Amino acid sequence: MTRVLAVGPLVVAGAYAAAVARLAAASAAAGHGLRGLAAEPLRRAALALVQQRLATERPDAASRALAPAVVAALAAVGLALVPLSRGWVVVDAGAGIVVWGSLEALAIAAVYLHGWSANSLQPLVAAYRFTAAGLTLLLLSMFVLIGVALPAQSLRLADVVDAQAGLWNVLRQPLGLPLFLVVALGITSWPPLDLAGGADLAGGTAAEASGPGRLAWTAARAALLAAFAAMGAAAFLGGWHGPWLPGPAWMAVKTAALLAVLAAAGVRLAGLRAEALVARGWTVLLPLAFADLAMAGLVAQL
Amino acid sequence: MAVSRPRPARLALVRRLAAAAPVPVFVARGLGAGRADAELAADRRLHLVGSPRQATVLLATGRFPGRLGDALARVHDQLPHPRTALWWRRPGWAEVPPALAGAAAVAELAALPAALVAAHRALVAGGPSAPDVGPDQPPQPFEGRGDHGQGGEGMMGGVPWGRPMAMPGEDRDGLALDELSLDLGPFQPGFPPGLVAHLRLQGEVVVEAGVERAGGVDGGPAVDPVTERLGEPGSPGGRARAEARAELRRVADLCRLGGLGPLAARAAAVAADPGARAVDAARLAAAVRRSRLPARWAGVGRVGGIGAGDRLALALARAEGALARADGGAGTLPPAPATVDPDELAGALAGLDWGDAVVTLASVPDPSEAPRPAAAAASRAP
Repeated sequence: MTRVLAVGPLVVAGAYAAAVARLAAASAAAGHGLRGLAAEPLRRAALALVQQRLATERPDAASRALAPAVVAALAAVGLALVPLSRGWVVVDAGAGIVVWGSLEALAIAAVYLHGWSANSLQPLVAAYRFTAAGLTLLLLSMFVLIGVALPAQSLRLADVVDAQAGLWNVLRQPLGLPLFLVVALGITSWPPLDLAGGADLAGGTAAEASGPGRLAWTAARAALLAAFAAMGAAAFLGGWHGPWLPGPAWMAVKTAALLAVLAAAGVRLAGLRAEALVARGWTVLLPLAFADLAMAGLVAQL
Repeated sequence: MAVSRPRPARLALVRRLAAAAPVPVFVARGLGAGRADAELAADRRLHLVGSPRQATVLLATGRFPGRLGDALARVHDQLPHPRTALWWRRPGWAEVPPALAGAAAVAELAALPAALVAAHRALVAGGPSAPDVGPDQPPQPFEGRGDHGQGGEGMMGGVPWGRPMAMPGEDRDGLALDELSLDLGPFQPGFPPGLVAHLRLQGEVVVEAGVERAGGVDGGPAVDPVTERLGEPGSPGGRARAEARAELRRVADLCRLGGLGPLAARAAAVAADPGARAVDAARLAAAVRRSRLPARWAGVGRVGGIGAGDRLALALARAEGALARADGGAGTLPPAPATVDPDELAGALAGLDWGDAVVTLASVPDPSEAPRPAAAAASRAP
């Protein structure tokens, strides 16, 4: 029961790590140094707290407050599902992978709600184009995650990690991790797949958000991205398995590595436009996910 | 529409941290300054933001005659408290728009970053926040014809309280879909100064568009006070450098619009460097190509035979060629794309989705951008 208390610090640490990873990647890509970046999220958060929280003329106030809260709650659930070490997981769900899938679907609803709540055009357009792409990504995610359940013959995440003692899923199912990372970027609307954001829409669903409201939204999505990275580490990179270091340390290292990869993609690659993402989602990514699942099934039979 | 009062930050630590944060600046481009502000992206103390809701400082560059001044006042009041405005104002720009009546003015581009940081720090430390310029009320009265007085037909259409309401229209699949009218610009990040697009949208698809230059087609004295001083006036090297700089600013704008802030910072750094070499532009071009941004925009907004991706690639090639010439080399300088007639541009917008329309409008060459010889500018001075 006391393990539940660990969720709060995990969410905060995850959001902070995702923010630092993004700032570091941006700084490196711009040719600036990395000095002073560890405290940079604190400075930006402090500024947001000093700023006024503006409301539009007639916002949907309940949804406006609810959207960041729901995303943060989903990040908490996600981090609670992931085993940090052998026998140490906050919630040992027998069907953890199914719970994770439902969490992704709810995240799409929360992002839509955020765009809806502002009563403003840009946020609404962003919400619609995000939802259109999000549905494609959900299908991808489903195939990829069923793939990791096959070798373990279980939907329990601890079993999925255990089944990677000899060989990590990233080698057994090489297509799985890249596809999962695409899903992570898309569902959390993180660059380069920030369809709910975007410079063309003045920040998308957050175009009207200021001060603490904007901070809550950004931090909640950063925490959700960290949850995705932790899930990726557990499902594909062998979770707590590794020499010398204790299990939780390996999880931290692997999660941080995935966050670094996600952040680097965000600052070095141009994003796909909504239409292109949906088109490629159905014609390229989904067939790849099929292939991944078929390969996972064949390998599991051997 | 402010409903809550600005909250004073009580904790000294929070205030100190906030003062050290990168300054969120929203830039409103006026006439006569071109895209010069794009170079601010190179300064890591600044954070150019896409929405006035994020900013503490509104940076107004150039002149804001007539309706541009009204638009500036509306944007000014959209910044959350605490906020302030800073004006990049050249000598000779006499007309003071209402939003900038109490704003501090800076004449030199090079002095802007320090002024922005100082303004931000003073504000966060508890300095006075700029009050609203306009009244906090709807921009138009609620009146018009129609069953409910909203101005349209039946329950739809019209602009009650100045908010355009949707009317049904036939969409590209032959269905009746709501159409919404709205204006994009004049301060959309990445747009050339004064550019406004009047759009009719179905969902996020542009059904019909009109393009207009708020403040006049000419755009006023378009000479850039910075490029003007680069090199010897009239010397081939100075001229080539000014051309490279204008292209690199456009590249910075487009990278930012494409979500690639770090590449925008690099382009801005090369633009601002008076000793930049062709190889710097070549390295930048390689990084932009690796980002796949030109490829993503390859077919987008085809005007005058080329799309937005080609325009970005062309700007990079021109910057490299011009810098090679500035150094006395024999760089190949591809010809500049022809400026686009507003009607042709409006025609090209129809059928595009929102993002593509914004990219198209930001990437077309604009008459106000090309650096002109100082003599020509002097004859145009207001």
